[in-house]
Amino acid sequence: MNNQTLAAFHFDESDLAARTSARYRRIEVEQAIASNKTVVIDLANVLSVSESYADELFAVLVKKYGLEWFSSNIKLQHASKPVLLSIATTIRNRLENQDANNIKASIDKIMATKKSEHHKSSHYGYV
Amino acid sequence: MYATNNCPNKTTMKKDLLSFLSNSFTSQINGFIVPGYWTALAAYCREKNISFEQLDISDNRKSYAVAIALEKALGQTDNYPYERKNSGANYRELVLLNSVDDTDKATSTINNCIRHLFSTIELTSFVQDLCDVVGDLHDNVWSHGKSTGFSMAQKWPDYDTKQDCFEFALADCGLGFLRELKRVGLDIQDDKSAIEWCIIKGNSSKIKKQNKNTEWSQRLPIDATGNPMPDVGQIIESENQHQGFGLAKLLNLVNTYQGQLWLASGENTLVVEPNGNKFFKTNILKWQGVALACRFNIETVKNCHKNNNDEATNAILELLNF
Repeated sequence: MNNQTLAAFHFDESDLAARTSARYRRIEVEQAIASNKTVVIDLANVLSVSESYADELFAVLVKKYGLEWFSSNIKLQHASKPVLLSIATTIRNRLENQDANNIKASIDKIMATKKSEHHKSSHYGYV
Repeated sequence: MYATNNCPNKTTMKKDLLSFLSNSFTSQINGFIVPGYWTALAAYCREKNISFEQLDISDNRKSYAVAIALEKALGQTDNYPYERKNSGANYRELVLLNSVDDTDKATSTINNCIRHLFSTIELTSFVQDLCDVVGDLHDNVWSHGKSTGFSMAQKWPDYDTKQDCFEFALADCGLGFLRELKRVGLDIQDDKSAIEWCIIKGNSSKIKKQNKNTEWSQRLPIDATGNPMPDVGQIIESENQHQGFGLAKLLNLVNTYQGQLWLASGENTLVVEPNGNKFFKTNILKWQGVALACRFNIETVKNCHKNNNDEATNAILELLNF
């Protein structure tokens, strides 16, 4: 992840609502990741996000590529707790066929891997 | 309320619209007209090409109609002579949802008003939930209705209790639920059943449409003007991945915060009362499109609490935060 270049996305709008707009953003995000970039989505200006928007931009990516892929390639920055909760809820809805314990176990595994990688990179002097 | 000078059935239309707005939509309280009334009136007049001058409104209501920019909503010159100093403070004038590109901006307009109206910490959850729902409902207008819509938000003190009430309303004269569901091939025969289907979590006409388009269908671009394979090729109207959240979320919001809801489409209006009772009314005027209003007593809202998230959602939240 540290060798990859970053593609930064930010939003001028305070309220994200339209599924159509989200779809365009999702396509841009997918193209950036396909170009071997790590995507940073800055949600500092965002005060609310409809579930339609959150679903189309974030949850659809999880549905298509999985949580691990999402977590490895996309970093959310400066998101308020309610905005993050909206995103998490839509992801949960897309994974509704999966048992809560299974989802939690998968996430625990992803988190453990990420912590381990973080620890290693710190050890070798990376930031 | 209005006169349609060019319409041969003006008396009947006037009576029917009034009955719809007042009875099916409970939009006048002690003479005070609430957003549900104004949004439906604006959508109806715009659809029927009724100008502001043709509206037969008493002087005080006329000045209020000018203040909430009804003239502008009907495509005419905004003749309000003053700066709208309270716009965003106690109310937000009629917001036009003129195209899919306007959706985010219109949502910010209404949501900024809501955030300004309710800035106390005890209303944080309510405001956040409401703002999210407003976004979904605005998105529905063009995603499903395919027509211009209007929305409006307002706070006012209840005439009897003096407690603050708040209403968000939205109306369009688009396809409406039944026509939209029939269009995508669902076997639903009446407006009541269509409303019932649309308020269930996960139900979306877009999902049905996608399911109908098989993986092996020949695809044509959205701007294709002629189909050389009329029985084979399908124009894929949208690559959006609709989940149909808007209306189920709206009902959840109303239930959680013990609000009231009027959701009208076609011949029926679904009414939800603060105690959770639901029933249908038959509309005197068949409403082409969707008109809705949700109303909350702010003192009641302060005493309502949301259920906690499930474990999986909390784990996803933790991962997103990492």
